[in-house]
Amino acid sequence: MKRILGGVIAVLIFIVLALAFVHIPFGNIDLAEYHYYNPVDNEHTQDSVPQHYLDEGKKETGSTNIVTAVVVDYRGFDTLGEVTVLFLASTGVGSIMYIFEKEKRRKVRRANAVVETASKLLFGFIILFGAYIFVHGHLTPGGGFPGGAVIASSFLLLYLAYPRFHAEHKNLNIAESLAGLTFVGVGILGLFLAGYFLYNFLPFGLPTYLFSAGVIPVIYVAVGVKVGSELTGIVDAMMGVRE
Amino acid sequence: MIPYYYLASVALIVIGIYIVIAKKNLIKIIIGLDMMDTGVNLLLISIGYVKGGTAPIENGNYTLYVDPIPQALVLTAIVIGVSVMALALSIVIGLYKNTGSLELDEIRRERK
Amino acid sequence: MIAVHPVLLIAIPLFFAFLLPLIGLFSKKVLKYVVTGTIALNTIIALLVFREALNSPIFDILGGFKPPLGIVLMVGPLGGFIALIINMAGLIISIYGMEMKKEPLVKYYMLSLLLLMGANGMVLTGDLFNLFVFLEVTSIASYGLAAYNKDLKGFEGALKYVILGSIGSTFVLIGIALIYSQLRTLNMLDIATRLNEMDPYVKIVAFTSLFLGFGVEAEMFPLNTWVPETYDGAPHSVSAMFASMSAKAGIFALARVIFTIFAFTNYLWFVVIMGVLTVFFGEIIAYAQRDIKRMLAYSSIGQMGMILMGLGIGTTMAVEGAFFQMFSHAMAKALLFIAAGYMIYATQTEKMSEMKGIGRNPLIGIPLLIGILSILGMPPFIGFYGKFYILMGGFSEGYYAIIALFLAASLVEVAYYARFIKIAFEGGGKRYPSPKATVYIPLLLFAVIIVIFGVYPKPIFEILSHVTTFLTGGV
Repeated sequence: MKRILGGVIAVLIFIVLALAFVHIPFGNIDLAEYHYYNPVDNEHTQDSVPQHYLDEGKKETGSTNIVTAVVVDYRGFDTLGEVTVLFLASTGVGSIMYIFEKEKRRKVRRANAVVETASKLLFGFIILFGAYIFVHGHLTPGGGFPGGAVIASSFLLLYLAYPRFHAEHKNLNIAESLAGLTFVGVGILGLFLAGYFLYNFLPFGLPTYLFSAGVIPVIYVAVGVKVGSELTGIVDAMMGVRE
Repeated sequence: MIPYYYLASVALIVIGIYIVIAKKNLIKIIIGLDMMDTGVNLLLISIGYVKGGTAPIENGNYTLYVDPIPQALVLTAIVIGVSVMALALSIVIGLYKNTGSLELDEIRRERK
Repeated sequence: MIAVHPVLLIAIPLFFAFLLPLIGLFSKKVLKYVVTGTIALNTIIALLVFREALNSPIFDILGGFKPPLGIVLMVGPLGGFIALIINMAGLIISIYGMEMKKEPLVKYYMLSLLLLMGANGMVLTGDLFNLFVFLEVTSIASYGLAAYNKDLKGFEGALKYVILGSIGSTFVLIGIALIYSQLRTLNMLDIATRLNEMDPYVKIVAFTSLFLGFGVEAEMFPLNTWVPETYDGAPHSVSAMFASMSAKAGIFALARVIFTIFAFTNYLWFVVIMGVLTVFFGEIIAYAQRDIKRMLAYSSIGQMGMILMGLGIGTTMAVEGAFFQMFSHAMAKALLFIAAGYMIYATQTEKMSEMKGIGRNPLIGIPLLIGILSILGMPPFIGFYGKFYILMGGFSEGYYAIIALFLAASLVEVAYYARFIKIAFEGGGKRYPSPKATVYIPLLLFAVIIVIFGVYPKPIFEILSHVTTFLTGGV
């Protein structure tokens, strides 16, 4: 019964959406054609949003990577929300797994010597790589989120290799909070200095240099630390049981 | 031209919805939710494609770039999807610890 | 230059939510005061923002890039009003939340602050994708809070909510993708002005997707099956938050999708039908309930359906009624959930039949009675104006059959609430422990608001006179 219902609903949705997407060109588009309207000044322009980002992004934000410019600067508020969502997830998982922390850890076999040694060796390098990704977020593909995920994966490796390993919750919480406060603090500082929340108030510097793009690297470092500690916290909570 | 990319992503979404409605195993339902997420992300990213365009990182050799906004949106959507998955899985772990089962029918019977 | 930045309504709760774990390291006792203090500060800012928005709509440009290049918060009179309601309800509920004992308390307070922040963001933002992000903030905070009791009921409710919520957010994203692919912009007003560049079929599909997506949070039929179980399984303060904060943010987002973005006048019948179905689904099943929180949850669905109906009828009068109903329902339902929390605590059961004489204590009985009468739409309380205006609006548009159904549903509502009142005020019950200050202060505050604006509704109607601009696509 449920299968028939599910099938009918699925087919219906497929048909409706497929008919809609037939109207949408794939690839054959000129981004400059979509002229936007500015509701604050009430004017119709001859500019298009994506084309503006591509043409002026480097000048307006100092970031070579336009996607980073969009993520952290033009639509930085979305990223703040996104960071909050991840923070919520780690808080929620921690809250839900709370009761299970007291339980006895089930018996686990030790990993063999190769895995233990290799993970010990790799741990530092993976963290370094993660840090590299988020520090260079404004220059190369990547940024705070992938970098943080890489850092969390190094901890995951330790969890897999050493069944008794667990990251100190208190330290994770402190890192998470400080990184979050940095992000919001940068936003509020922008509000006080320039009148715009999340305003890019630091000098842009020379494009393609490490110290460029104003607050973008600052925010991405905070995001990287935050994502790393949060994902580690989620992994830790999911592993659950602790003596 | 038929937009295959769109159809494939819509198909992923729809398969996800079917799984969520029809299946009774909680892990399968969560896999269905994840498929829906993936489908939507694929959809968003294909919308930004410009024929012949390259990744929007300025390096002087290219003049044609793809739309950077959908990439930024997908980044956000992926993180949100991961968060929802983490919470959903932890809720499932909670249910399992409470009832010892992952089947919706058995969990319902447990409550009665 | 803006005197008060609306973004503070989002930044302050966020800042303190990040700060709470650090405070928690030193002292766990101060946490509840910090949270209530934060929300009180937020309420004051909401009041200032609202006062300013009454004169002219506020555009708070974020990051220094003019929209649609950057994200903008746009606060009109109605948005400011809803934000004020949400913060006020949050403040009063947080007083009740001080009583929370179950660990981990730090996480409870963090989640509830972020729920408030998400609801504020949903109401204030002027960007479609940003609205999606805040929808997710609200719903993920809700998932965590719904499972907070960590019992079977809580987990089941939360799981249902997660599944339907994810389907909803998928639909929202599909809608955004459709709109973006045709217009290459995400700003709501930009979309609204350039809507005719869209293919008509794509437009309808995008509208339907967004409508269904936000309908999950706004408790619309048929996506509201999560409501009873989630409300039932969640802690009592959390049920109050869902009813008065996230549901209101959801329905306001829906209203903005209907009027600000799409301004669809010839598809409004669709909204009316969804509203009527929601009302019927809620009220009829509520009648069959034996547990108090489930009954309140279904009744909440019914009330949300009435709001949806008012929006769908689409005349100035009906929409004014819908907004009035949002206000009255936020206050009255939060009151009833808090009262239900006390009653469950005092009687150790959720069954209504075993709550004999619980209302005989005037500290509980009087607010309870006021709340119920306001939900039923009795004249001296705020609930009356909402229902009356929706009805009159429907009458002037000639929706006679719909009005008949609406009245029938209201009768059912009267029947089940009357049944409960009879039990609650019956003599011969046991002696119950009298409520603590953290219970009766919020109850009395809500009751006072309900009575004051019920007797003197003029200020609210002055605010709601801005509905005319809202209906013609203004902020």
